[in-house]
Amino acid sequence: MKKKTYLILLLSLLILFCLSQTGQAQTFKPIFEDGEGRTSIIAPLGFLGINTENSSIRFQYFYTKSAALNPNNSQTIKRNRFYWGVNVAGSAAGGLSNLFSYGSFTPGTSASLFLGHRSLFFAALDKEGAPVLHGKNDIAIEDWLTFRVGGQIANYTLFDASRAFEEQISSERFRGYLTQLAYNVLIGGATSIGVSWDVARENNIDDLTPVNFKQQTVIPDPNGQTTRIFEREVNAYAGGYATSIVNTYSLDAVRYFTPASEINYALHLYGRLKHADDQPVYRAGVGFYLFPKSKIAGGLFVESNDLTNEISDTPHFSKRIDMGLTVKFILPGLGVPSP
Amino acid sequence: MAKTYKVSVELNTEATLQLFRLEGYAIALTRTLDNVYRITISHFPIEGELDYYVHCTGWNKTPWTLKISVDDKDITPEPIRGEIEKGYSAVRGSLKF
Repeated sequence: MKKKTYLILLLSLLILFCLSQTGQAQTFKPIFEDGEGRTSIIAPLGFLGINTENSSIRFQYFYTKSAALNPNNSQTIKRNRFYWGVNVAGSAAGGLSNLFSYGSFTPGTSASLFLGHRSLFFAALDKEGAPVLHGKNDIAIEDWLTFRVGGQIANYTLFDASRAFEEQISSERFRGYLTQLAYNVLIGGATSIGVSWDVARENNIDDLTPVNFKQQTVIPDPNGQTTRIFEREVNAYAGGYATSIVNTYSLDAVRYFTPASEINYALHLYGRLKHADDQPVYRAGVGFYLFPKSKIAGGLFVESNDLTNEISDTPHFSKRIDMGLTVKFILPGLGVPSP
Repeated sequence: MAKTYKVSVELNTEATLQLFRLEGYAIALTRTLDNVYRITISHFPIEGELDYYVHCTGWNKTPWTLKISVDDKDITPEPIRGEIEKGYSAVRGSLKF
């Protein structure tokens, strides 16, 4: 836990340093997720993101099109309300440091495709193209309904000391999938609420104990004069590895504050109900995000991955608390002149 | 009959572009990989000044910037800028060129 906290702080400083060097860094808009990278509030834009809690780096491309002239009636418009996108993530069970530096990491890759419909219940435009505003304050309301399907591939090395020596180390190839249906609404550009249901094939690799050891292969010279020793470092996991089908119900709420100062901030509250093997597990968390204008920003979140102590080994609530950092970079111009 | 020009448009924003108009015509812009909405029209009729209209929605304080070039000449050396308030930004204007 202590090592993880240091890692988060180190990564924060590194990112702040890198972006301070770029001067006019890309602006950053809120993208809110939990420690598993799950959210019901989709980000309708392309980005590159880092999440320290689940040790992942993610890329998202988002395709959308603005309204066009109605070919059948030039007085009205055709609202292009469908969108699609891809999300690709690379992760390292065992920490971001594995992903970045050690040669013997255990990477996982996941990819998903999403399709959606915006302005499902709250039209942003009327048929003539005028903005549709709501309430006495004339605010805009947007909503998105998103369907996502994806898969995950990961390879793990497992260690079991109770087995015969030659069977103690084994490789496990994990194949997972995810199907998610999410609906979220943005009210007045400041309040967002999202709900989602997803079903996924998951594993318990995060609950296993990381084991690191060196394996030596000794090859003696036939004439007995020399011995060669080959050594390699092995990062493995000890414990009972298992996979399960998990249904997750998510609720996210975000309030975005934009005071007169240059720094904006947001509060993210979320809850998860996970159903696997008839045993419900509640997760909940809170995230706090800072958005200095035209500078780097990111979020720090604290969450309990077993709120009611259904599956944890420890009765101490404080020991069931995790902390993580998410940072997103909006994709910069790719050689194309931009304003 | 209005003279036609080659018109290129770039609208850079993290917000959602709902509607873009040039000379009153709704023109569909497609978001590209770097979050810029772009289009180039080879023969676009313009009479007098170039009228534009931008309507974006999204998180408050999200900026947008618009650049337009006519016959490959940048007519917005200083980009047109806007910002989301109350969840939207709808701005109309005209450009001399």
